Amino acid sequence: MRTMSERHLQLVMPDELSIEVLVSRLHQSMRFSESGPVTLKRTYYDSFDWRLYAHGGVLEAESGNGAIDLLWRALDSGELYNRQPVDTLPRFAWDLPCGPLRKALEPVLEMRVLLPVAWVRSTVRTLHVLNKDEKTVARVLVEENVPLAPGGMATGRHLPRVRVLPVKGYPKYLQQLRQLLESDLGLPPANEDLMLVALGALGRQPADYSSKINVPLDPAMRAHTATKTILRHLLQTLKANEAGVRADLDSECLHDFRVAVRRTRSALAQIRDVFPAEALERFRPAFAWLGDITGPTRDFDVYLLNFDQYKRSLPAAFRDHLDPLRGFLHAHQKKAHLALVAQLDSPRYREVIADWRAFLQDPADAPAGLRNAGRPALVVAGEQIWRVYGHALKQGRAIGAQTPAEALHELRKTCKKLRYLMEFFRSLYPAAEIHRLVKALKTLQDNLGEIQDLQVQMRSLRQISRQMADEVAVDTLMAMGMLVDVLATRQRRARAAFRKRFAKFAAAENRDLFKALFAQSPAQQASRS
Amino acid sequence: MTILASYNIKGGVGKTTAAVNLAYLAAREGAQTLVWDLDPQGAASYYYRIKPKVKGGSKALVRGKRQLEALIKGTDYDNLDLVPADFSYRHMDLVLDNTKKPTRRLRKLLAPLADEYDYIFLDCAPSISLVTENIFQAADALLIPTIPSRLSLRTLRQIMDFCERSGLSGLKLLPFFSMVDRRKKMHRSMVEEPPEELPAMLSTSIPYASEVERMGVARAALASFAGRSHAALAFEALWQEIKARLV
Repeated sequence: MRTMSERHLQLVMPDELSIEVLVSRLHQSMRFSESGPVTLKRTYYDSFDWRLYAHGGVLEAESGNGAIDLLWRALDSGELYNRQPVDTLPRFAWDLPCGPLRKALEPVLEMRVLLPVAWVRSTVRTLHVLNKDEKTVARVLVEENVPLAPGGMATGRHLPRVRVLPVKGYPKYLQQLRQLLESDLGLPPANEDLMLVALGALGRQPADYSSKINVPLDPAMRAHTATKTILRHLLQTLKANEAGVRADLDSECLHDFRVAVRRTRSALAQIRDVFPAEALERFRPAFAWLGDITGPTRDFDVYLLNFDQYKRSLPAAFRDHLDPLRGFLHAHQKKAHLALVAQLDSPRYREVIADWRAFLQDPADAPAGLRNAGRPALVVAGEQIWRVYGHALKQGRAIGAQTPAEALHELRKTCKKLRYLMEFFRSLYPAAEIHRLVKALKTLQDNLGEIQDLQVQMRSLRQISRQMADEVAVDTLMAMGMLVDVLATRQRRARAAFRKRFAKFAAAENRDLFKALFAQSPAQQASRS
Repeated sequence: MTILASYNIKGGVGKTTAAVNLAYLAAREGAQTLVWDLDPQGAASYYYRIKPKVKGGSKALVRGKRQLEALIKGTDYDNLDLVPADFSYRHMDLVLDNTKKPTRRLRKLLAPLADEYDYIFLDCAPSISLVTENIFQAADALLIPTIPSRLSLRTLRQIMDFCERSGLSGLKLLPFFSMVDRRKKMHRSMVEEPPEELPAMLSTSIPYASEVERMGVARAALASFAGRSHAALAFEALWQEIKARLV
């Protein structure tokens, strides 16, 4: 463990202190050699959904003189974890050369692309503090920083900073520098990482996007209004991902787009009697269409994401024979994506979104005669969740070892509806309890999802192998056949695990909690104990 | 964490030069790298401008009174740290002999650093002793700089026999020709056609070069002050070859 005294120090240069005065004060008390000044461009990267920030890290690309260094450090303390020179900027973590930085970033970023989020131009003078062997025992970086706009224009004010980078094993010098800079010269600490300051200069907040639903609702709010609030939030998520879907930045933009579509469809179908039938007739087919046009691309994305795992699941001698499949998937993903973009460019898409937005922004009350529209959100939410929950229990209990796969698929769909409802109205319930129930549901959903996804993958692999039959070697077809076999084994295993997972979900303690949170009347409470 | 020991029974064959330069290259690629200077002469420490002194000497370290972590010093290079040498290392054999499981002590001392470093280079003193056995137990691979001469090859054979007898089948042996003087006929012929009874020598050899000697004046890794020199490029090629062999 590194001791606190070895942590690096980041200070702000006050306006009244000039760099020359600072350097001459340092000269009076220690020996150092100087390098620079060099001008660097610092670009900060994160994924669309801010995974690095959420992980508490900052990824900075420092470029100047043709060389690029990637720096990975702690957001709060500024402690440097890794410095890695690269020839080109990676798009994904897997583009990085094998090494510690890749090892650190891969599990955090997974399949997400790195996007530039903020820029700073820095002019840096480095003072290498030396001992009597001319060994560097600490470094003082005196920096002029200017936040930049995306085009490279300076934006925001200059940020002069002093950074002290200790060298491991020489704590004495750090203490001496601390005394001089903090106490004698009175330099205040820099509380925020430069990344946050640069982001602020662009008027942006970190973590301004999340794929999770977080809609604060008031229990007394009318259900009609609450549902519109939820749907507005989903439209925002959908629109936030649209550019990423068009550009095919990474697989998750489309995934989040599709989830927003599915949640919207679920809300329209499951939160009953809050909207007039005329509106439902208009919008339910529109969102079904959005689900349809995005499906093929997503399917190919999933196979491509799974490809390495597919390969690893085969005996070593057969793995390379699977490679033509990757080429096939890539080509078809590209084609499907082009078709999708054409749909997003169509007048129909524009009309659907405009129409939907107008509907959600319409402040008028729901027309009379809708049973739930005017009732409190809390009451309606409880009723709907309780209804779908009962449905899930009934379907699950009817599933035995011989039940056809379709029944599991139906249960999966019901569980999704239940999950979405619970997430929409999450803010109305005690956080710990709802969290526990969502977690219990998720464990069951993971199992059901695996069974169904494997089913779909096996079916598609068969179709694809027929399409590829004339173009590839027999070995490739054999490898694909083996893969189907591997998937079938996995599916059998998942299916065998279902009973236990369901029993856990349907256990008395969860039933009691579902009842306590969502059942409305004593009569209902008695019905499912 | 991969532990690489730069080792030979013979002295003056380029062990320290190899450890210092290869570690520099590993660190430059972004790997967290540590060099442990186990040679009481402290040449590696000298090259990195770090005092060859360890508080409490080898006794405190071997007996577990002092953690290796507390002795680490940062070098002038990013990602590269050093545990300095100490003159007391010359008695390390005796201290080790008084501990339980004396041949595994070093391995135990290094274990806590597994999460912090990707590569640890051990720069070993020339000898064959209890310390050597410890090094063999701890290391994943031995880098064995070998001068292309009959006598050196005989020494290499001895090291291989020793490893075999000690049952160290998991230890990779990576010998390479070092201090190769192209003006000498003997060197040329042996590098071009190494004797068949020897295990695959790495194909890169390190030339005898004045830049290598200048390291002692510059007190720095070769690539940092003579990056385009033959010797520096040879170390780069050697490092790539070593990495490929470690996979």
